[in-house]
This record gives sequence, C-alpha cells and structure tokens, in this order.
Amino acid sequence: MKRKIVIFLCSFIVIYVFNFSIPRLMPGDPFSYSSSVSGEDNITDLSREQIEYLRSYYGMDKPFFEQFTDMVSRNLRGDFGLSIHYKRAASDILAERLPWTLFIMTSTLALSLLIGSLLALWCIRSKRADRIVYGVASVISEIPPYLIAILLLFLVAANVRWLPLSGAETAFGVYATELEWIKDVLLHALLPMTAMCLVTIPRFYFTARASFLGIVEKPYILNAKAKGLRERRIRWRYIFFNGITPVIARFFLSVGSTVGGTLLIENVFAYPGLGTVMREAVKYRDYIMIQDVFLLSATIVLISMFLADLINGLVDKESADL
Amino acid sequence: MKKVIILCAAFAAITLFFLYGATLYPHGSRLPSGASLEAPSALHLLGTDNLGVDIYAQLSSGFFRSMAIGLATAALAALLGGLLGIMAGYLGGRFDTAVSFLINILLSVPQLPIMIVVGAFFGQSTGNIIWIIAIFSWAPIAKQVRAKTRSVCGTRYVQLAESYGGGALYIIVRHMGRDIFPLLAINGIAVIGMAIIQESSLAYLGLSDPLAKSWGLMISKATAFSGIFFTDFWKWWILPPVFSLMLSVVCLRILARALESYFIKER
Repeated sequence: MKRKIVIFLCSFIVIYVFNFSIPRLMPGDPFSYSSSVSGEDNITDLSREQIEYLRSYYGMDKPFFEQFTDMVSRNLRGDFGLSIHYKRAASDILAERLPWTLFIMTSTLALSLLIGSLLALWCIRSKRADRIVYGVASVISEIPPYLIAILLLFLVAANVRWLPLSGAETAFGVYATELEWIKDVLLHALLPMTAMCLVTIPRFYFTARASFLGIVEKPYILNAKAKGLRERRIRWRYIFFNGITPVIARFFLSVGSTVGGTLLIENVFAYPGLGTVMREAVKYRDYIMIQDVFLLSATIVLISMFLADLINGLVDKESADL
Repeated sequence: MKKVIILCAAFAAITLFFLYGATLYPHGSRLPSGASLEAPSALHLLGTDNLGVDIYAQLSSGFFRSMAIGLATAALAALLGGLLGIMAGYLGGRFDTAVSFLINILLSVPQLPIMIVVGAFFGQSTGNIIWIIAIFSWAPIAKQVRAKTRSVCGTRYVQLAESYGGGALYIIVRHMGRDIFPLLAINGIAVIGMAIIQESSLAYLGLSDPLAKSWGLMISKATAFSGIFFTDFWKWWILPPVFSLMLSVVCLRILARALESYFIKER
C-alpha cells in the first residue's frame, strides 16, 4: 500500500517536472514562432521590444529554478496560465471542455463494462459462441478506434439524415425542454461512443471471460450445482458477483488507453472536448495549453491507475483469504 | 503453427502488393501524374488526390515508411527492454529496484498525450517519432523480460551453471536465451504494429513529418478537404489508407499473438 502511494506520487512529480522543463529545454519560444509564421491565421509581427516585454510578462527571463517555484505556487493557487491562442485563462477553457471528454470516456467505459461482462457471461455457456465471439473480439480490439470513427463517419453518418456529423450539440440550438437537450447531446455522442465502445468492449470481454472461467472451475460452483440451484442463480450470484472485481479494476486501467482514443476521436467528430483543444493548441503552438491538457489528462490517468491498483489489491486479499 | 503460417503469408501478400506500387508501378508518390481527384481507372488504379498524385503510389510508399518506422522502433524498444529487463532480473538489488521503478512510472503515463507534447516541442521529424515511440514501448517488454529472467534464474540448471563458474554472459545467452529471445521477438512484432498506429495517430493530429507521405497524413489531409462529405472522393481517397492501416496493423498484432500461444504451447 505504502509502495503504491510512493509510486503514484513519484509518477506525478516526474510528469510535473517533465511538463515544466520540456519547453524550457528547447530553443525558441512561442513569440519568436508567432512572429515568424505568416500565411496562417496567426499573423502577429512582434518587434524585439514587444518580445522582450512578453518574455518578462510570462516570467521567461527568470532563472530555471525560480520559474519552477513560481509555477508550483501559481498552480497551487489554481492559476494554470493564460492560453496564448485563446487569450483566456487556460483553466477556464479546460473547465469548459473537460466535461465533454469525461462524459464520452465514462459513458463509453461504463457501457463497455456492462456489455463486455454480459457477453462473457453469456459465452461461458456455449463453447461455439465463445469461439466466434473470441475470434471477432480479438480482431476488432486491435483496430485503432479513430479509424473506426472515420469509417463510421463516412459509411454511416454521411448517408443517414438523422445522425449529426460533428459537434456535441446542435449549433445555436434552442431547446424547449431539458429532455430535448439531453436527446440532442446523446445523438451527437452516439457515433464517438460507438467507435470507442467497439474497441473497448473486447477488452472488458477478455478480462471478464478469464475471470469467469477461473471461477467456473472452483469447487463451490460444483457444490452449488450439486445442491440443485437453478442455472440462473448460479450464473448471477456465484459467477458474476465473484468474478466482477477484476473487470471493475479493468475499468480504471482502461482510462489510460481511452484517453488516447478519445483525444483522437474527438478530432474526427469535431467534438468540443480536450482532444480538439489539444489539436488546436498544437496547430498554433499554444504551449501553455498543450502542457495543461497534458498535465490534466496525465493526472486523470494516474489517479485511475492508482484506483485500479487498490481494487486489484482487494482482489489479491480476497483470494488470499479463501 | 498453421495460424502463424497463414498470417505470415497474408503479410507477405500485403508487402508484395505494396512492393509493386513502390517499384514497377509507373506513377510516383510525390509528383502529380494526372488530373486532380480522378476516379479509379486502369491508368490510376486507385485514383488521384486533390493534387493529382496517384493514391496507390502514395499508399505504397506509406507502407514502407510505416514499416521502416515500426521496425526501427521495435528494434530500439526490444534492445532497450531486453537489455534493461535482463540486467534487472539477473543483477537484482538496487539496479532492479531502479529499473522496476522506471518501468512502473512509464507504464502509468498516458502515451498519446505525452507523445503529442514531445512531438509538439521537439519538432516533426521521422527520427523524433521513432525514439519517442521507442521510449514508451520498452517498458512493457522490460517488465516481461525481467519477470522471465527472474523465474529462469531460480531454476536448478542455471544455479548449476553458476556453480560451475559460468560467466553472466554465457549463462544469459546459453541458458536463458531459449526463454527470453522468443519473448523479445513476439513483443517486437507487437511493437511494430503499435508503432504504426501511434505514428499514424500523430500524423493525423498533424505532428508527423509534413513532407513524408504517411497513411496518417493522407487520412488527415483527405478528411480536412472541405466538402468531402458531399462528393464521392472519399471512396478512393480515404478508404484505401484507412483499410491498409487496419489490415496491416491487425495482421501484425494477431501474428504476435499467434506466435505467443505457439511458443507457450511448445514449452
């Protein structure tokens, strides 16, 4: 337990320091970049004095260590810098965009957990269904989700009238009731979520399958059968409830890969989450925004990995007790 | 074994298909060779893109680029992961603690965001992409190799060899190689597939070498073409790179898995 917390904290510190030092280790800065790029939409010709002024304004002329302590104290106060492209507080933009990403991610994972474990539970009954589902799942799980998203976009959404192509809600939409808004949001989230789910369901299915198969062989299942319990009761009360813990740990473990997938898929559907912010930040060399998005997503992943570790620890304890 | 052969044959077929496009096929992948946005015909097998560049030729050069990146990354990752994993497992002690710690940290960092950050700051060259992906791919390999080395270290035959006075290198190559090298090969193949995905994802986000014709860049350019939804262009402009990417990645990953189960069954 202590070791896990140490690793968790160290990972965070490593990421934080990495995030801090990487832009300072490389030559150039956004100001020299933005005054050298022309032809794109950010033409800002800065004079030498203006660059000097901006450098001292952003504290870039101070020594390395002082900049670090500055950043820590500012971050602790909830100040994550001004976005160079949006010209607003980065934390405000992140607060606007994060809910959309979290919405897609958590609902994808929850749905995949549900479908994946039910699929596994259904498949342990028949060998043939298991073989087919296992084969299909192992192929689909290897496809990068953003390719599935592009295919869905062109093969399905472009041909169907009622499916929106992009965005998270209808632009300038006016809704009579809350329900209508929810319906609109769900409709917009349908394709991104389907693309993600197709790839994440197999992963949950594999975990659940391995876990359930391990339980089917336990003596207490044989005992339950000998007692003459009904098939349904055995399946739900004995197999499902005893085998679901590693699947729940999988939920948190999958956050890491899901973040990557979501960042890409959001760009396919122009979904207003962290992924599109990241791409825009990359396009305009908005370093502060890139770093904040990275720090935020890394922190989310770290916390969920830690939670997964805790749950897996519980599982080990349980099996040690038996 | 049958599965492995089938997959190898499938992959060889894919390679041959693209080899033709890169060598004997009359059109180049860089210069326009026809009108813009031509539909597939006998002259241009898969049509042309908005600049009139042949798509089949682009796909073919993209395949070899992707494979080169994948192979380089896999070689680097397998070397680093194998070396550090064997050393950590064999030497133990402080070195093991340090390497395991590093592995744990690398495994807990989300890959794509950190690659975006590094790519955005260090510039968009192929070399950068290779080492960035390699740095994040060696950790899982090292973890497995380390565990394997430790378990082999505990066997009697290794202890016997040690008591005879066998050197570390001799023991590792002669007594552990049989267990470790297949592991490295399997993971290496898996990393090729992963590196191709990562490279295409970075290219899709606009973080790859903008001059190199990669599949990700093709997809990115085609999807950004305004009005693509209202035309038929996507049928030959977007589907080929998407399907080539899917096919080669799935083929490689399943090959790695088939090899894995083959080696486990053998032992």
